[in-house]
Amino acid sequence: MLTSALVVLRLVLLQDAAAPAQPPEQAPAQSPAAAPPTEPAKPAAPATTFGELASLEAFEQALRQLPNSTDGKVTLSSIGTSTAGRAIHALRVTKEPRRKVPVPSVLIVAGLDGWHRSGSLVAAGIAERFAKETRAAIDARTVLDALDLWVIPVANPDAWAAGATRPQESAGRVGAGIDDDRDGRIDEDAPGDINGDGVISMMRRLDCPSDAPATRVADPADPRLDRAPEGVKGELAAFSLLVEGLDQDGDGSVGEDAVGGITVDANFPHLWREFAEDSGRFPLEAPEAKALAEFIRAHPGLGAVYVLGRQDSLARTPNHERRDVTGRTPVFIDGEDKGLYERIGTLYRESTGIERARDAAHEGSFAAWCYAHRGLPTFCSQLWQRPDASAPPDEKKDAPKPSDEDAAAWLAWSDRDRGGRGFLPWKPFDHPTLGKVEIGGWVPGFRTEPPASMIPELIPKHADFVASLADASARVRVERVKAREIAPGVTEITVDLVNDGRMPMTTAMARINDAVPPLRLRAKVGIDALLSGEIERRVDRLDPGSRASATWTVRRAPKTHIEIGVHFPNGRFDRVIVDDDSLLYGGRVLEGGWEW
Amino acid sequence: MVMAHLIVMAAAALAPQDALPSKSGIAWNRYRDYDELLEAVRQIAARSPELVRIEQIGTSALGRPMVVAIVNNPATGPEASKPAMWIDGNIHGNEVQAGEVVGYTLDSLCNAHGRVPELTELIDRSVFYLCPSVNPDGRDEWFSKAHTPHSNRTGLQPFDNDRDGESDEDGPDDLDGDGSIGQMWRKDPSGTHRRDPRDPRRFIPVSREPRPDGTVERGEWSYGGEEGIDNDGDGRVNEDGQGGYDMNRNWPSDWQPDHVQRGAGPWPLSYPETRCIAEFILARPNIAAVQSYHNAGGMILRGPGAPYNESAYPASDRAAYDAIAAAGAQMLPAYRPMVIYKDLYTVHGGFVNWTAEGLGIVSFTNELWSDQRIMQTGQDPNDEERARWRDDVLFGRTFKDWTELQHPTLGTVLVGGQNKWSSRVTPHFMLEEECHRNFAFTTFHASQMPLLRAGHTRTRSLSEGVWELSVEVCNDRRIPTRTGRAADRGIARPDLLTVGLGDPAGAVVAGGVAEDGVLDRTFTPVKAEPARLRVERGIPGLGSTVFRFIIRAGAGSTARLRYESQKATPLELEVVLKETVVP
Repeated sequence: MLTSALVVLRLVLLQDAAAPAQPPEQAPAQSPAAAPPTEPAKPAAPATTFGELASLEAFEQALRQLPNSTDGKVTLSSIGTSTAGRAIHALRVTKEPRRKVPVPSVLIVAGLDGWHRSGSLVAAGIAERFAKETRAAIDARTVLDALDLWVIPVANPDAWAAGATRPQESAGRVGAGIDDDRDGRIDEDAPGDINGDGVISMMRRLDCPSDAPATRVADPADPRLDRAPEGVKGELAAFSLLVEGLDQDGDGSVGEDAVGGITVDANFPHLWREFAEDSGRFPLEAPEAKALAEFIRAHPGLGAVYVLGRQDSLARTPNHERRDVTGRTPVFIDGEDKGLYERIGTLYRESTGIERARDAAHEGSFAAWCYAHRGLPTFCSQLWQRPDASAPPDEKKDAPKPSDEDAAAWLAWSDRDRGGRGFLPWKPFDHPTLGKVEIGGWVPGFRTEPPASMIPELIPKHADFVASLADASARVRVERVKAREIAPGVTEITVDLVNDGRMPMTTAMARINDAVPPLRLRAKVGIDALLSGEIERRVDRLDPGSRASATWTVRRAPKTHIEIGVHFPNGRFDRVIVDDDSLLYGGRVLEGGWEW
Repeated sequence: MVMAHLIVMAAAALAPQDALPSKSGIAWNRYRDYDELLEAVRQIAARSPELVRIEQIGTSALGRPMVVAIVNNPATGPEASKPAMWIDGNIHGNEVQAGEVVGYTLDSLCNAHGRVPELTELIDRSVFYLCPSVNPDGRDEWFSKAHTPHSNRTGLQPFDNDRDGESDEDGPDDLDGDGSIGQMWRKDPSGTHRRDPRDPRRFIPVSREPRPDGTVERGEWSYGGEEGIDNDGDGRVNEDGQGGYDMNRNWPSDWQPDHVQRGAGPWPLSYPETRCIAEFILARPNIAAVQSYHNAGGMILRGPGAPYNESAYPASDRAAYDAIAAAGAQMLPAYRPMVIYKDLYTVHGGFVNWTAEGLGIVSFTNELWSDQRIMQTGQDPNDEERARWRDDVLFGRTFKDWTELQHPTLGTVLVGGQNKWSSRVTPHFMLEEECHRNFAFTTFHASQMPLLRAGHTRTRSLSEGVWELSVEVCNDRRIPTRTGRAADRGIARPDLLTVGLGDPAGAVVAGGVAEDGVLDRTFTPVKAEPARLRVERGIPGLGSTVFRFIIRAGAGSTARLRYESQKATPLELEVVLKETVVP
């Protein structure tokens, strides 16, 4: 029974735990048992198994129940094993597993690091939603009955499991045994919660030595924030910022060699940072990264990839002008794909309302690699955006403007709407080696993980976007087959192709890197029967609304037929048959179905 | 230990002109396929068990063992305590003599140990890792199947070269059954060539200029490509042969995808052969020198592979590279020191680029054999001179006469021509010399791995129970203990100099590098851990660094110093804290 399988658990986000004075925020306790018997067109409070989950184990338990509760529309498999031996799960959602017609395919990847667990919840929630709801419950687009959806909800399960034991900067690292500071000692000096408030935050070092001088001052607009001093106005730096921790190895540095190896989302080949301490000794060294890469390579015809995590390529269109050191690979996207990213970005903003994004490193990331080296249209979302703070107090005239307006806005939201959960006030602390320090600052995860109460609202928004993405996918098909006898025993055959989707058959990047197979039309004729044309004609490009055609002149005796195989980039295979009847009615197209 | 060696050497003294008696009994004047080469390596190891250990480090794409022979004298210390040299060959399957050179090197090290003082000293203070073939499948394929001198470079993991959804379905075919892939000339009434009446083995182009009477000469033959047919019926010939990738473009440093570097593989270390070697090397930070053998062209190559990586070879490193390469140019007739991107072509993701630029190891690639060896003048031969060499010295054995065949799509063709032994590989009668000269180059390179020695030490009393200790650490070889590249990019662990005091109440108060040598009065103290100095730039090649400590300890007590580099045998010395006189 579906409802009995659901387990409603709480996601204990760190910002809740970090502010014990504030009551933890309660998410609306939605249960499918309480859902109305008939599905509304737009449920006001969508039910989801994945709104609140406390642990990786509970989350995976819910994943394992999905196949049973979705009438076979969801299959669960493993694409690999993490560094610590955890399974990396993949869900496949297909409403018609035995269908013969081609449908768009979208891959959703989430959970690449430990501070974007909410992305995992949303990704799994999307899969559940597509599997359980009828199309009317989501929206009216016809695509929803014909979508092949792959979801890898927790690409980095070890990072989720490590959770709050690591500072945010190293939340995506897996394994151990890397000598971060190259001093011959391994993992000997990790950051730590030295003031016992349950959070590894930051330290303001107030008594800075001359060889490590102060670099920051408190921002007059809000002294909790900081900025560089304005030396020309006689302002002197007052403190330096360090991660919270001790100098456990006595080398003069604090928290410089944590337990933790490779950042999975920095371990992919595009723009891989070879000498960074956390990028891995070589690309795809982390088994998590390798498993994802193998999956992508085994599915070259994916229509689109949607990544929920650190980066954004939808709220803001990525740069299309910068190239890498060879000049032959774009840093972000190729100029010819700019229009595609702009169009899909518009769909994203319409579905999710997200228009703000934070900058995030993308060197060596999964998403950057998917696009630049595999040619796949890959779109990144940070899942949510900084909400506007409610009821701003009257601003004093001449009040100083914060140097970092985004940080100030986060702080305002924390203060006014989140009971101060986002920021720990700076509190004095006597550090054993640094002397007087203050410990406080941003609560890790506050600006990356949305409140638990937001997750049930985010799932339908992102599901709507995925539906839009699928709906916009390239739809390449044989439009028409013409046959005419130009002389007795000699037939001219023309196959017209059309893309009546809103995305190109291949990205410009795919045409550069050849990682996506071309569309191939293969005439099954002997070399002696072929009078004009190539036995195999290839089409690398079909932009939205465009056509292509291939023509052959062949010797064909009456009462015989010619067959042309049409191999689509996504693995679909159609057969075109030209016989005597085709001279009057055109050739027939037999949809051969998928070749996955 | 040293004395024992001297005794052995005296007993086995040989006149310089004598060849060293072979312990293995192997003669390196013929080529061996992979199984035979592996058997030879195992035989060498079996005859020198005290020195050689065989380790299988992985398996190739087709399941052949990936083997490394480890040469180490355990009596002089464990592997990790000594600088090591990695030597490999044959990453391109067709570049076969590279395997023989590696095998010869292994054999010669074993033969020389205990007999040749210079080499015995080198072997006793070093480790050698020798991989006779990085591409066992490719090597086996070249010997056992029909190929050209230029094929197969690739490994044998199937690859869809023509993107038609099938892999390896339309490679060349040995139509005339001679064991090589030759050329095809198709009969063509408007041909571009005719057969040379003076030497019908050759095809010569017909003139495109009209005759005085205005007519134009027509040839009878046009070139039809490499020997083969259209196996997959797609209208093209030989467009998807075996493999189709290049494992020497599959290494992590400056790896670039296929659209930038054809054959690079889907990602770095994507092949079992490259992956297992990378893991082996990464697990051995003591590797301080790398030599990789290819063919052909007579080149001693160093990186960078791409112009934008020039800064990866700072001047301090280039001094070592230049000196070693110059010595090689003396030892190897017709070999020239070259820089890969400048003098050959751009390479992204090459093996020695990874070891040099990614791991900071002084690394060379030798392209074995040069056609200049054909000539007395040392110049490149022209076609005529090359033909004469093949006829008069190789007795025409590299040529297969033309056979007329009916080709399924080209009609009448002539099949034949030069076979796979006709170029690139060293002629068998010159093989041993090629092996020996390159072995000599390798051992010279190995001899330049860091060798530490204590130089001047000085202690000075600063006040009651307070001492200034200065220690000079010297490196008597050309390769620094940390290359400039390693220091610049923070590769691996820096060198460490630790100080232990005999006085339990003592303490190292300050420590650091003395700026201008042992007599300079100032130094730069480190901020923390003065008794454990991190020496990021190591000890320069053929140079020294002076370290200075201020120590609080009783007079006459001792300070034990240990200098550790990942690429040198550690240096230990004990100093008594007392006033010394500066010489």
